[in-house]
Amino acid sequence: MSDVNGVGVTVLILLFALVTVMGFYASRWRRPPSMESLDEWGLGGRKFGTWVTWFLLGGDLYTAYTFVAVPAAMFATGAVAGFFAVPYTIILYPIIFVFMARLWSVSHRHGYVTPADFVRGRYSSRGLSLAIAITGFLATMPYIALQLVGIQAVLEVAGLGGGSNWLAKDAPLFIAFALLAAYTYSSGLRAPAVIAFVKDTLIYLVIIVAIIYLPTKVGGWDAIFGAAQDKMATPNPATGAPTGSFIPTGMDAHWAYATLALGSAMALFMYPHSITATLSSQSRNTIRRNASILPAYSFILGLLALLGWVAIAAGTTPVGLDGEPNAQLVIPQLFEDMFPSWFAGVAWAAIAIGALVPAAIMSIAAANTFTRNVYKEFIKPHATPKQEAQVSKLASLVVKVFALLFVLTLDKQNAINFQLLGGIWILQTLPSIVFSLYTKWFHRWGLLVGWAVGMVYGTISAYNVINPVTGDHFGGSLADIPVIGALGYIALTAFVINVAVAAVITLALRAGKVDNGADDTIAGDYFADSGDPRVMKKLPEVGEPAGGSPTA
Amino acid sequence: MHETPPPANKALLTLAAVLLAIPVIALLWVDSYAKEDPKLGPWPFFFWYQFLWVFLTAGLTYTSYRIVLVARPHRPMTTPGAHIGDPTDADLFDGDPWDADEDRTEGDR
Repeated sequence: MSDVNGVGVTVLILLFALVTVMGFYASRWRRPPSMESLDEWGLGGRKFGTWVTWFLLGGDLYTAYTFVAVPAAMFATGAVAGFFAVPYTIILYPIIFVFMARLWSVSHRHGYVTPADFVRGRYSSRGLSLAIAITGFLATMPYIALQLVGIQAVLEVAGLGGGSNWLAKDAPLFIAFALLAAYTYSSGLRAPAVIAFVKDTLIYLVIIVAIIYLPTKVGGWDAIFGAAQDKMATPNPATGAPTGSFIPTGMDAHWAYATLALGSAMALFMYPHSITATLSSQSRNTIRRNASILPAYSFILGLLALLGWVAIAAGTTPVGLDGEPNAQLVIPQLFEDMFPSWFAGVAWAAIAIGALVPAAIMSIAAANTFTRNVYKEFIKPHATPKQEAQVSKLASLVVKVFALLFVLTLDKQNAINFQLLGGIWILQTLPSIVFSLYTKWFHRWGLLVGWAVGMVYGTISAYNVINPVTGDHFGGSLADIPVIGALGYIALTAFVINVAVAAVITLALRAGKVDNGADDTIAGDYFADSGDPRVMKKLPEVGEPAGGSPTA
Repeated sequence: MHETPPPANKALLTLAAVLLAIPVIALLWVDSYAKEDPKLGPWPFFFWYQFLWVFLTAGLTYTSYRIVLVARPHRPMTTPGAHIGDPTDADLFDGDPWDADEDRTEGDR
């Protein structure tokens, strides 16, 4: 670990430099004809066929979540903590199949770019719209934090940084942050679009090599499952309980597994970056057609998750530069141990770039939401496009600084928890967005109070989860579900409370005949398709073009 | 006319909803698959069963997609026969389908 892998680091830096130069040139290509095509490329391929779209989208679905956090969770505590990502990414698609088409139609009919725009149009409620926008901004922070942890893991295993004082200790993290900030600031969204093919080729190459070559090198799947079963049954010295779960057993584990999967699936498409990406598709049914082929990603995600157990069989010992064990380093470390050093460099570059690009997309989408629904709505209604672009850039920097604070202050031994924390918050916006696509029965103040109660409950519950080993707060995302008494994902418990509060208040306000706000939409809007009058082929942009792809 | 949802075949929509609900219920029912046997080669049941659902879900979702296309055909939001350049349609007459109620001088599109 203390050694710098010279060849690997050189390859990593070269590939990184290549991508950076491409990204930089991307920002110069501003002439309309070429920009048009780049834009289409970046926004999920309005011109491309289903299979190419599938390929491009896939490159964006594999982030630090898939490459670093999920395998690390599998390595450290087993199936409940990590493998739930497989059912999560399977049931995700039937769920979005149901409501995304309606959101596409009403958004394209009215020019809504963000879910906060839709809520404002549906209820004429600036308060509710503000709540949705701020939640999107806030929930993106820990998700970006997860990507930073991924880049940091690569740099740390590569041996960059080191030393004993606090600055050197966190040097890989600061380098990761600086890279991301410079990258997004200079190139905006056009950079991810230009480098998509390089990035995706790298990612697929590494995935295929890793999941075919590595299992054979450690003695096949028999040996892998055997080693994992042994490790998970061994008592953890700190708690005396088994290290983790090989297969979830018992009521707590089953509830935890199911609620983590369902809560995460419901939450993912509430994030600003996922919604913008979906809205950029060419017609209302595109997302439905894509939903039927996207589950194939879950297959590869499952195999990547099992790389955490391949590392157990391989005897990988992830130790950070500070000499402490750190499960997040397990996959970069596995690659270093098992691959020739030049290919380890390629694999590291794939992980790092695969974290950098989604982080850039997420921060820009969150920044656009802020600009559109907070800055322009409340601070400066007549802002010029130039001012909007400036505010967007600044907001994207702010969101990244907060992401950095998340990494510095929270327990980063369990990075998957960052994504789960974001899920707790963003899921509280689902009633206002998804329920409102179907009915205006809920009252806007009921939805607002329900949201507030869900946010407070979720945050307090998550704060009260103590990591048994380190003693830190925000140590996990599971807590007792009241009434049922089993362990469940806090996001889902908070969501149920949120809906119950919203329903009770709605009943009261409806009985008192309190005005529920004017509705800009009509029933037909929810079924409009491209070609209908006023259905925009392309939604308006805030400063930089909004877009990207759903990112798991 | 557009104040109401377009007509739909309710039975077919229900069928599509059922097909979509199947994988969600199957995968959330952890009790039904959290076990080691029967194994598929070295693979415990818990793992290969969930991988199997990747393909089953893709099939079910695609079937639902075909069904909803039939169940609720698109109802154009213009009067029948309206097309870009149609002089009778305020939205479409100039070939720009979404600017009819906008102030032209302000347009930066």
